Amino acid sequence: MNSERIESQIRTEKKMVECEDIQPLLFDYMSRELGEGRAAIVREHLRKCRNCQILAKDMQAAVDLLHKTSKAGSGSPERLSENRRKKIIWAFTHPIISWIYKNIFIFSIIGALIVILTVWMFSKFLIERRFAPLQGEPITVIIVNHGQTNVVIGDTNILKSVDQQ
Amino acid sequence: MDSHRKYKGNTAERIISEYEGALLRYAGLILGSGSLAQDAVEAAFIMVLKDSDKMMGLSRDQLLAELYRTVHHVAVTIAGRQQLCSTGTDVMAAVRKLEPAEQQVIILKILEGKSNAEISSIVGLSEERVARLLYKSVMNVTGKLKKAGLL
Repeated sequence: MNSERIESQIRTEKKMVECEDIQPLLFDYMSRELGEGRAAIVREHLRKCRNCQILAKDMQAAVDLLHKTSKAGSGSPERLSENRRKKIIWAFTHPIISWIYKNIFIFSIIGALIVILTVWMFSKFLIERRFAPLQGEPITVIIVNHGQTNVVIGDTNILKSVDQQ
Repeated sequence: MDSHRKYKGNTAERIISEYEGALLRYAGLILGSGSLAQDAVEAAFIMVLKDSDKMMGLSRDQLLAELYRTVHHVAVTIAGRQQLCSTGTDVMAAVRKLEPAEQQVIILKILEGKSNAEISSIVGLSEERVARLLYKSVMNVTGKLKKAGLL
């Protein structure tokens, strides 16, 4: 039983030193993230394997280049502008604005409902105005022959006054 | 009421001063523009600070992780909207051509000098997955730099 375990351990170790098992560990090895045991296996493999040496060298060159570039600066300022700082603090401290930012979903729903209600009420007002029956007393139109001219009178009060004359 | 507002204002001011430099650098590396980086960081601060109750309960590391996550999300959205990432032959263009998750870990690791454990708490992945993602990103960026004749 014991010998079986030792054989399996040897098989595992042999498998571990294959390039395809070592390569994913190379970057962690380079950045010292590996434990001492695994780091020793990688170091030992690198000592013997030319392919992995080349790969490690390329990766290190890329990492160095990225370091150098980042030190040169990303083109962004070190601080936010005063206006932007004020805007953030205002959004954080203003009671209404901070409530809106905090409850943006509820605020959007309320906003949408208000818009829908306004449109609905305005449409209703327009429709009622367009199709509503005429209000007030019916008007009687009478044509009175006044000499040569036909006068159209559209009000009963005026008609009465014409009769009296 | 006014003293509470003043306290909130001071807290926001302190948080901004403490983290703005790192966040601007991070967003700048993704976006390659100072002005867009400021847009991203401003939006991220507003998004994180709006939930003041949650924010006040976070530890320093948790708050930093939340801010990095939010800035990354906003910066990637801006980059997509501006159709960045695909042009240029400089070193950072090679990083910008990576997948967003790869960009995130490589910037945090190589350019910001974070450990795998710190990256794991920021991106919300296990350390093992972070290590695999880092290896893949470094391999990809090495290939792109070689292709561009920069290595």
